[in-house]
Order: sequence, then C-alpha cells, then structure tokens
Amino acid sequence: MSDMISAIDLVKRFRSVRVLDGLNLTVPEGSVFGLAGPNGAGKTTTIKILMNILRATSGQASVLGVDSKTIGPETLAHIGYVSENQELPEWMTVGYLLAYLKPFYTTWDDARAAELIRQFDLPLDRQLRHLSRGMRMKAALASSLAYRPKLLIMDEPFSGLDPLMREDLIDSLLESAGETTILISSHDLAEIESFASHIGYLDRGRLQLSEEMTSLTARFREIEVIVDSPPLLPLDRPWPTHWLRPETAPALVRFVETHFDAERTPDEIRRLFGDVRNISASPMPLRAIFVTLARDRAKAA
Amino acid sequence: MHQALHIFKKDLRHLRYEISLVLLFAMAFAATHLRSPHAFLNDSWLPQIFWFIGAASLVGRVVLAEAIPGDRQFWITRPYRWKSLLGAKLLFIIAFVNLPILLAQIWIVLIAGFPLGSSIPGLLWVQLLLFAFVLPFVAFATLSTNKLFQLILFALAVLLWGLASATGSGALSGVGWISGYVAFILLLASGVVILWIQYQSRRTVLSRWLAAGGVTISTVFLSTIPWTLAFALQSHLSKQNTLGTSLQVGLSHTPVETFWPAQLKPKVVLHIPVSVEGIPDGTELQPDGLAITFEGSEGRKDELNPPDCANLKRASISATAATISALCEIDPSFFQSQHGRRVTLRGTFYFTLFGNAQSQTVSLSGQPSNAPAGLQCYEDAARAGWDVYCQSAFRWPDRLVYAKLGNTTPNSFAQFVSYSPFPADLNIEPVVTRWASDYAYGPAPVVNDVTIIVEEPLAQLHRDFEARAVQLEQFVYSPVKVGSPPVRGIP
Repeated sequence: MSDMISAIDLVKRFRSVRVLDGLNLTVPEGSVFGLAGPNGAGKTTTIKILMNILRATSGQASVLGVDSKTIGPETLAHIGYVSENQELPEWMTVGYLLAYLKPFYTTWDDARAAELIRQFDLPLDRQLRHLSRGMRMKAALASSLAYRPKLLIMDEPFSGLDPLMREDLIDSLLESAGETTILISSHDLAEIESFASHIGYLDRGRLQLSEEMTSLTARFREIEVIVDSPPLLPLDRPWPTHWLRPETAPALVRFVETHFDAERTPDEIRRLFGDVRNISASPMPLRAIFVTLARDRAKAA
Repeated sequence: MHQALHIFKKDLRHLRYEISLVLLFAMAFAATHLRSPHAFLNDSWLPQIFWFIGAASLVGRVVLAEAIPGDRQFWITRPYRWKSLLGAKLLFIIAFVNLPILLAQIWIVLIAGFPLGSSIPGLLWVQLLLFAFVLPFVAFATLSTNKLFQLILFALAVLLWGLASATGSGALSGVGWISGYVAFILLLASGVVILWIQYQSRRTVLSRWLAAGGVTISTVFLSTIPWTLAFALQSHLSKQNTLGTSLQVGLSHTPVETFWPAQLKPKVVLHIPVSVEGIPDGTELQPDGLAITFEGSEGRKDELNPPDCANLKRASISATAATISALCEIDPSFFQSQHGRRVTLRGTFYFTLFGNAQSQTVSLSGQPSNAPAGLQCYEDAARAGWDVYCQSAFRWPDRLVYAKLGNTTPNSFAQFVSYSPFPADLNIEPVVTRWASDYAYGPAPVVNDVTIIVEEPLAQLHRDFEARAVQLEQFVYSPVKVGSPPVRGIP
C-alpha cells in the first residue's frame, strides 16, 4: 500500500508562534485516517499545508505523490476537501453548485451525484445561504464525492451537527471508503473511533502517535491488580515505562498498559508485585487513551 | 478557454442585476446626448458618475467572487486554472465595462455628426486606456476582502481617474501628458505584476508591498516631475527641431501690463518678463514653461521649476518679437536674505513654435460645420452673444485654434494645448467642446460666419538665458497693476 499523504518534519510559524513543530505524518492508501487532537493542536494548519493553502515554514509534504507546494488543478481534480469553516458560494443553489463544479472534473459521475443528492435529501433549488449548517456540509460533501476523488480531506466536518446528521455523513464516508482515502480531522474522538481505520494524535504541533486503530486499541488496557497489600509508590524496583498513570488504593493497583499482551503483561505484573489475587485488563475507549497520553506528557514536561 | 468561459458564465449569472444596472447607466449616458448632442453643457455628468460608481462596484464584486486573500475560500481547493480564472475576470470587464462604453461612444459620436471611420482610432484608444485604467484597480481589489479597504480602493480609483485625466488635453501644461502617462504606465505595470503574482501564486503580502511601491513611485514621479526630461522628450517628438535657430531670449526690463487673477496667497510673487526676439516668419510662439534659478550672495540659491512660474502670458511686440510674462513664487526666506542685494538669474524658457496655419470660414448656425483638424464648429442658439463652439472627437487637437469674427482679433479656444500624440484622452465623454468668445460684455458684432484658424505645432524648443546684478525688489508682483479685463464697447 503506497502513501497518499506524507509529511516530513513540517514546521509552521505564525510570527513567533510555532503551530507545527516538526510534524511527521503518513496516510496509507485506502485508509480512513482520523487526525485527532485538542483545539489549537495544529490540525487545520496541517491540512491547509497539505492542500497548498498555506506554506510550511520548513519541512516537506506530498499529497498523491505531488509536493504540496506545487499542488495545482491537475492534483486538485482528484482531491475532495470539506471544511467546517469553508466559505461556500452562498448565492448558488445546491443544483447550480453541482452543475457548476461538474465541468471542473473529468471523473464526475452523474449517477453518484444523483445518489448523493438522494441520500442526503438535498434540496436542489435552495440557495446555500438558506440551508442549515448540516445541510451545507452535506452539499459540500456531495460536491466533493461526486467525482470519486482519490483522496478526501475533511477538517472538523462534524462540528456543531446534530447526531442524525453526523450519522448520515459518516454513512456516506464509509460507502466511499476504500476507493477513496480519507483524512479527517476532529477533536471528537468518539466519532473518529467509530469509523477510522488509522488514527493520529496531534498535540502542540507534533504527532504524538500514529497507527492503525486496531493496533492502538489492542495494545492499550486499563489494568487493575488486586493485591493483599498495595505497594507504596514509587516502588523500589524500576516501574516499566510503558505502564502509565499508576494509582494505588487499599488492596488495589491501577495503571494503563500501553503495550498489552495477554501472556506477557500478567507475567510482568507478577514479577513486580509478587503473588496477586486478581488481574483484570479492560479495553479503553480512544478518548481515555488520549487523555492518558496527554496527562503523561504533561507530567513529563 | 473553456474553463474561463465557464467561470465567466457563472459570474454573469451571479452579478446579473449589477450588470443590468451598469448597462442602464451606460444607456442613460448615451441617451442624454440624444436630447442635445451639440450642447456644451448637457446633463451627461450624472449618468457618468453613476456609471463610474456602478462599474467600480461591479469590478470589485467580480474580483471578490473568487477572492485571492484568505484561506477559507471555496474555490482555492477546486481545480481552477489561474489563467482561466484571470481570463474570466478580464473577459467580464471587457464585456460589461468596456463594451457598453464603446457602444455608447459610437452612438454619441455618430449623433454628434463625426464620421465613424475617422473616429475609430479614438474609440480604440479610449478602450485601451479604460482597460489599462481598470487593470491596476482589479489588481488592488485582489489584495483584501476588507470592506474598508475596498472603500479606500474606490477612493483611489477616483484619484486614479483624476490622474488619468492629467494625461489628457485638459492638462495645465502641454507636456503634462508625459508625466501623466509615465505615472499611469508605472501603475499599470505594478498592476499587471500584482495580477500575475496574485492569480498565479496568491502571495498577497508581497503583492501589497508591490502595490504600495507602485502607488508611491507613481505619485512621486507625478509630483516631482523631471521637467527637463519631459521637455526634452517633447522636443525630440516635435517636427522641426532646427526651426528658430536665430531665436534669442533674455530678461526684459519692460514688464507687460496684463490681466491676472488676483493673488490671495501670502507668498512672495515675482513678475518676470522674458523678451523673445527672432521668431521665425510665419510662426507663432506659445510659451510652455519657465524654469529659473536665482543665485544670491553667500552661495544661496532658489530654484523655480515650471509649476512655480505659472500664468505665462504672451504679448506680441512685432511679428518677430514678443514679451512673455510669468508670475513666479519665490522662497520668502531667500527673498528676505537677498533684500537690497543683487542676484544672478539663470533661466530656461520652454516654448513651442506653431505654424502651417489653415483656415476655413464656416456659417454660424446651430448645426455643426466641418472645420480644420477634425473640428466641428457651431453657434449655440440657446446662449446669448456670439459664443462660437467647436467640438472634437475624443480629445482637443494639439493645435492652436482661433475663431475670427469679421474683422475682429482672433480669439483662442484654449489657453493650454496638450501635445500628446495619442488620438484620445481617458474620458467617458467622447465629444470635447470648447468655445471662443470675449463678446459677452458688450454688443455683439453682426456677422453670419466665422473663420476658424488652426496652427500646428512645428517645434518644441527651449532657450537658456542669464541676467546678472538683478534686484529682486524690482520684480515683485504688485496687485495694483492688475485691472479689469478690457471690455468691448465700454471706454
């Protein structure tokens, strides 16, 4: 599988503020890549550099094999872009927007466009300015999927949408997944978790982790160890670096295992604590994983 | 091209109401001439103003339909080709700004009685100027989406229009067109570069610096005109540079009593008379400018450029001699420092020799009659007296034009003549009308026809002169010398 997006050591400064601080990112072909992170982490800036809307201060990025600084109409014809804060031509009706855009794309598929219109229940004769935020987002997405792009980049597309609208959008994304590689940024981890195949966590301008969703959720576990008498922390023995956020309570030790292995982890626990009465390992939602990582990083800083 | 037309059609649909309004103003402008095609004062100025505002707004709107600055515009993530986008915008301007004015001007020129064939160079030149005028405006409109900026831009457009008019025959100096055109070309060049940068790579910060630089350089060039260069260029363009080799210029000691408007400004004004001898036979000398340097004691100097020595008046002494009087504003501190002392005056007198006179007698009526230099002359029956009007298509000719009624002294139609070699000025109004008369104060002579005399510029020349031991006090302009203009019929 080749990479649809690749960024190496991207740095972006706005005056003295360093928004991106050596970002490295790879989005494999066919993936649905969720770019997560808190507000102000640099997600939108990253996407704008990839789309050649902004210039990076240093570093390199390529999209569909093209240097992002030279992305032109030929490349853009294969990229869909939907953003929460994009300024659409609001005077256009939905129907005219689609008709206007059609000649720009040689791969425009009328059948797909009709399907999207039906699926999103888009009112063709209504001006964009008279549509709700959710419907505008749907119109933008329909206009970006109708030409079957190789890559779809979405910047916070679900912000401020009601749950039903989000489901509609996610359904259509899942239908396109496979033939279209999707990069989607969001600070809403629960949403990304529901459909992303890959996840990247961006914080303070750096990608803190980037891997397949299945791998990530498989290796993170919240471990609870019931012991006869809890050890005092810090232990006199070295605490494994991949065990984060240790907590103790009477007869209980709790921590997050970041490299969980059903055989190796219990052995490691027993080596550290001796005989234990019970070990439980609970899967963690994405949000809990990132909170753990963020707090650990804050503590380390 | 296909994509450019596609974007053009979108803009046409988007701005159809604004387009209709601008077309309506252009039609109204043309229609005002239908009622009174030859009138000196018709009411076309109002639709012209509305058209200007409407067209400026339309240009701004079409540019901002695909705004360049910013990072949220829908179009920048779509496969627009920059040449197509720019082409679409320029096509739009040609179609809805230039073309309606072209059609209106053809209509006006035809109903004014000018032949279309001879008007084509003027028509095309106006279109070229208009397009070249709009280009910097389009370029500057790409620099910001801020409404205040757009308002400032509109004010700048008005200023530019004024600047452009300085290139025309309305300029207060015959060579004014040179500085006007150079400033205009500098602005146009910066506009073209900005357009290229903005549409090709959207580098707005760089473009803003370029715009600031272009406006500054143009303004500086216009306000600190190198007169010597302008006159030298004009002289180079003139037909007979070798004419007037025997011509001599010096400081006259007999100032000409003449009529000037009252000087109200608290400045030290000198009345400098310049004598000219050896004017070639069959030519007429027209003063263009006077530059003077006073050298006083202790190495102090005061340099006066032609704009400092305005109001050049000529009084013919004989067929070959004349005295030119000028009012020159001198630095008051220099004047005070040289009080009671003698200074050296070094001057350069710029002038044009006119000749090859052509004349034609035309019957005076309300209907225009053909006269030399493409003029059409008539008497406006609606006005009292013997005001003779001559109209010209697209610009006043670079000629001295006189009207001679019966045996009276010929009266000039214009004090200033632009020597611009181009067939038109940047003006929406295609018919330029001027009049000659000094009969308004007394009983008019009874005549039925008028002789229109036209002289063409033969040579643009200059002569240096020097006068030593000059006492500035002798030349101080005294308002006492200013009287009322002579009134015919009243002793």
